[in-house]
Order: sequence, then structure tokens, then C-alpha cells
Amino acid sequence: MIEMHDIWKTYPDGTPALQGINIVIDRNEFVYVVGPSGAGKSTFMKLIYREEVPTKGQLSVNGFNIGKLKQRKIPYVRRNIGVVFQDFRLLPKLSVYENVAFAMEVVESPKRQIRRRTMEVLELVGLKHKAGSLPAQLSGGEQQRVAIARAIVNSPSVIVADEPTGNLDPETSWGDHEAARRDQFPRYHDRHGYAQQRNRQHPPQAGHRDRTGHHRAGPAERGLRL
Amino acid sequence: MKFSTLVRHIREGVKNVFRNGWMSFASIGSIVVSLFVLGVFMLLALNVNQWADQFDSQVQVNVYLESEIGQSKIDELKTRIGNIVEVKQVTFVSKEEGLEKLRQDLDEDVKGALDGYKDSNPLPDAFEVELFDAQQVSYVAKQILAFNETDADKPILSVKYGQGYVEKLFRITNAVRNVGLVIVAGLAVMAMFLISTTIKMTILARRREIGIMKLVGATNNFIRWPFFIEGIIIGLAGSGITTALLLYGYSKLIASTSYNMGLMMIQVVDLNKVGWLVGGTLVVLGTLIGVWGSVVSVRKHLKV
Repeated sequence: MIEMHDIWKTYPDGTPALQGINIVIDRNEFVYVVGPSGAGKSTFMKLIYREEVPTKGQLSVNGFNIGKLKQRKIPYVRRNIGVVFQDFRLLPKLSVYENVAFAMEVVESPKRQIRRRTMEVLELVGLKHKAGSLPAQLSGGEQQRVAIARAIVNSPSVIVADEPTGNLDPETSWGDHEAARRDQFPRYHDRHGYAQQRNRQHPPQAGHRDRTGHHRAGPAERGLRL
Repeated sequence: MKFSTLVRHIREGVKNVFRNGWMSFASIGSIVVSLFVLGVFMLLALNVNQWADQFDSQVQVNVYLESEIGQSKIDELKTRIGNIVEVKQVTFVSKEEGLEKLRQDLDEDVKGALDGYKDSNPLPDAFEVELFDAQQVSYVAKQILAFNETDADKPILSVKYGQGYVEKLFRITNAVRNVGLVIVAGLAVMAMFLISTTIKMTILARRREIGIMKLVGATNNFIRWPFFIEGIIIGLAGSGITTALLLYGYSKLIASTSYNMGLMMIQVVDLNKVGWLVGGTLVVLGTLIGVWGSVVSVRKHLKV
């Protein structure tokens, strides 16, 4: 589903971000990527949904060769990847409902289905009552849940979450994480068999840097240390 | 694209005008201000053109004939002059009529001086030739004079059209027209620049939003459409307001000054004559700039 072979990424200003990454992530897998700040976790994520292009190496997502993807095709790859951005990236002038529905309008879903499914997902993240609010009127945790709702609304085959709780205080952070782990994601995970990735800085493992690191933590759950 | 998606784009385009209230206001404002100045100068130029046309149209060719050429020759010449394509109308003025006209132009106390000429009228018979385009006057005069070369009788005494004076008049009226055109064209370019810059800046502020839309999987066209609709609305609103203001102001101006202008022998261009031209130009120009400005500005931010 996601395959990286000897992926290198160097930013135009010369900053090396990734050096020789190899990983294969299959359906149903739940993978953590851990490492200290600046280890390249975000870059790793951005390559998957093609916000960045690898400098070298082979990367395929859902069968698309990301490195050689034509500009025109990019949107179609992204539609199968739900992304929860580090800074949430909600559209500031759209309401919570409109933000989530936007992802469905993009794929030209029928209007009635958009309404039904959007409300369903908002209920799932517990924000049905805030459907008409603007993102600026929400707390950080609520904004994050809107971002999660938008990421899963189209039932994508891959969910990428780039430190979605990184900006939250530890208490909320753990709560959200557990909610996402136990409640939301696995529910979809079980029903549709998604591969999901969650990018978190896991305190015990942070600090150790192993660029090519890639080890199996279990059949369905493992970690990649950067 | 599905029809329901098109409806969605139109709905979003309309909503965006209000969502970005101040930005829309700034864009519409810049359209109104620049097109208003352009419109004022268009009206001014059209009026100046009309005055120039008035001066030009007073120019005519007088063809003086040799005496004793006979009625048949006169009729033949009249037909030949009338057949010149540039000629609008030929009027025969006999020497008696010529004398009478001269008398009327003179003051009361000196009119008697002409009485002695009743029997020995020194004036020649003449044609007054009006042209469609007064600027062709010297060319037509030459053509008429050339009749002498093909006619053994050499029936034409002379052709007068205010040589020397007319050329100067035309130089002035043409200069006035050209200056008007240059000012209007310059202002049009300036308006386009000003408006598109304002629109560019309002869209620059939305660059992040465009980026987010792309990351969620929107195609370029999906993002572009609402901007296109928004551009049409802003362009139409801006140019519509301008046209209404301008033509209302102009009609008020005509109503309050036509009497004074009439005294100065100046005829103001009628509103009905220019309303459609000026209004149409402004609306088309405004809408095109609105659309062009937003579509071009969006394109720059689509590469995400």
C-alpha cells in the first residue's frame, strides 16, 4: 500500500531531511513514526500525500508512483489519503460543517449523501453541536477533531496524522490520543481495513536517532524510528 | 463536471463575495473609482469629438462657374459632381441668389451699395457641395477642378473651400480627437492595472486557503470556478455601480447646463446617444478585468 525504497529528501536550501528510508506498510497496519524534533517525521508524512517530492528513491502509495506523478493526477491520489495536519489547516472562513463537507464536494458526492455522511462523522468526533461554528471559535482540541473528521469523511484507504496532538497540552493530548486509538480509528480500521499512520513523539523513544530504522512491533502495530 | 457541482461553484462564488466582505469591497471600490474616471473622460472625449465634428461639418466646397455656359452644362456638371462618392449634396446657387445672400449678410446701411449691381451682377453662378466626410474636402475640390481638363469649354471658374484655413482647422480638430483617444486609452490601461492589482492582493491573502483545498484533493478547476464566478460578480457590481453613477450624473449635468451651452452654440451629446456606448464599454471592461484578475491571480497559487 505504501512502499518506500531508498528514499532521500534534501530541501532546496541544502537541509538533509531523509536519508535512505525503506519501509513497506500494508493494509490494516497502524504505524507510529517517532523521533526527536527535526528528525524528518513531517517530511516523511508530506512525501506520502505529495506535498513534497523525494529527491531520490522509489515511493508508491496505493499503486501510484508518487515521484513521477503528473501535476494533474495529484488531486486524485490525495483523495484516497486522509490527512490530519500538524496545524490542522482548516479553511478559516468555512464553518465546521462546510470544512468537512468540502472534502466530499471535491469528489463530487451527491448532495444528500454529503449532508448525511458529514453529520455522521461530526457526531463521531463529538462536534455535531458545533457544526455551524467557525474554526476560530473552537478550542485547539475541537479544531483537531474537525481535522480528523475531514480526514476520515471520504473513508480513505490511508490516514496520515502528523503530530495531531503536538500542539495540545499533555492532558488533552493523551485523552485525544486514546479516543482516537480506541474509538475512532479502530472502528474504521476494523470495518474497512485501513492502513493508518499516526505520527507521534513518543517520550521513551525520542532522542534516539536511527535513520534507516524500521522494525516490526507486531503484526498490525509497529513503529518506525527516525 | 456534474451539473450539481456547477451549482455548487456558483453558490460558493456568491458566498465568497460575502465571506471576504472587505476584500470584495476593496475590489469593487477600485473598480468603481478607476472606471468612473475612465467614464468621465470617455464622455468628455465624446463631447469634444462632437464639437470637432460640428466644426468640420461647416466646411463645404464652393464651385464657381464661368458665365454663359448654359443650363444644360449646369445640369450636366451638377450630375457629375453629385456622382462623386464623397459628395453628400449639391446645391445650385444662381448669381441672383448669390447676390441676395450677400445682401442679407451686410449691414442695413451699406446694403444700398449693392443695388447698382442688380443688372450687371458680377457674381458667378455656383454650386455648394456638402461632403459626407469634411476631411475629404481638398481631394474632392481637386476632382471637381479636374473636370476642366476633360471639357473643352472649361466651365469651372474656380473651386474654393477655405484653402489654408481648413487644413489648420482639421489639424486642430484631429489633434483634439487624438488627445482624447490617448487619454481614454491610457486611463483604460491604468484602470486595468489598478483593478487587477487590488484583486491580486485580495487573492494573495487567500493563498493558504487555496493550498489547503489542494491538499484535501481539489483539482485546479474545482478551485478556479468559484473564483471565476466571484470575479464576474465583483466586475458586474463595480461596473454597474459606476455606470449608474456616471449616467445619472451626466443626465443631471445636461439638464442643468444645456441652456448655457446652447447660448455658446455648443451642443452637448445626448444621453441616449452615448449611454449605451459608455455603459456597455464600462460593464464589459469591468467584468473582463474582474474575471481576468481573479483567474490569473489564482493560477499562481495552484501549484501545491
